[in-house]
Amino acid sequence: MKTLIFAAIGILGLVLPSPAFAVHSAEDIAITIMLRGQPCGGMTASGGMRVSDITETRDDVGNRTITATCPNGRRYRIDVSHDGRVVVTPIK
Amino acid sequence: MMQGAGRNMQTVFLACVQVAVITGLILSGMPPCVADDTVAPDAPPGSTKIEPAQTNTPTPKAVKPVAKTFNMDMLIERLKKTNALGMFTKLALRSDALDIMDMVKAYNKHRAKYSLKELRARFNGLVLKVLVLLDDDPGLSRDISLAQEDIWKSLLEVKA
Repeated sequence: MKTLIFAAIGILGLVLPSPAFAVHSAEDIAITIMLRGQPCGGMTASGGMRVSDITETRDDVGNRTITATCPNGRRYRIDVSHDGRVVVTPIK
Repeated sequence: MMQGAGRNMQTVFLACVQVAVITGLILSGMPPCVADDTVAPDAPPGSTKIEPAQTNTPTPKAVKPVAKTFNMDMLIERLKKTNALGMFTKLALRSDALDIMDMVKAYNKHRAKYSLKELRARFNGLVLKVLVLLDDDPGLSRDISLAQEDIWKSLLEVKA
């Protein structure tokens, strides 16, 4: 019975529509870092550029702070203000 | 006397030429009279005039390319909704756009550090970034590319 349920869930996962080209958050952050003029390194084996070690904090006002490490080893802090302004700062 | 005979000969000669031409036209299947276009082209000579057919079908008009109307709000809405860009990418592009808008406002107030040429170069750079990132949404990419000049004009009209 359990096998049948798992098989049904698996089939549903394959059948149900999902965004065909939804951007992965690690790739999204890497693109954001580069858009703000910071180097982030080369492409990964999967063809995209992805950051790793992502941490995210949010304050009461709605400002968000994300830290991530680029494929080139550099670590960045991305500050997204409550009104949507993005600032990228390298962490030394 | 001799002059009169010469004129007669000339008249006869011209008449012969006309007959020969008309005969040639008849033999070749062309109507002798081509001035009146109401006669069917392949009608036998001497046939009566054909009235132009009265049809109810409208005459085909030349199809003019319809210029797409520029709608900035719709483009912004499509950019917000597209799945080709991630949330942070959209915010970063928005930040870039806001930066350029601030520069244009400063330019309009005559307090700009940048010339109009530099502003245009920055704008072109931003559009290029957007077009590259919209690789998975070619429709939106094409529409933004087509509307590039209109976007620039509307950007210049931004009031301080």
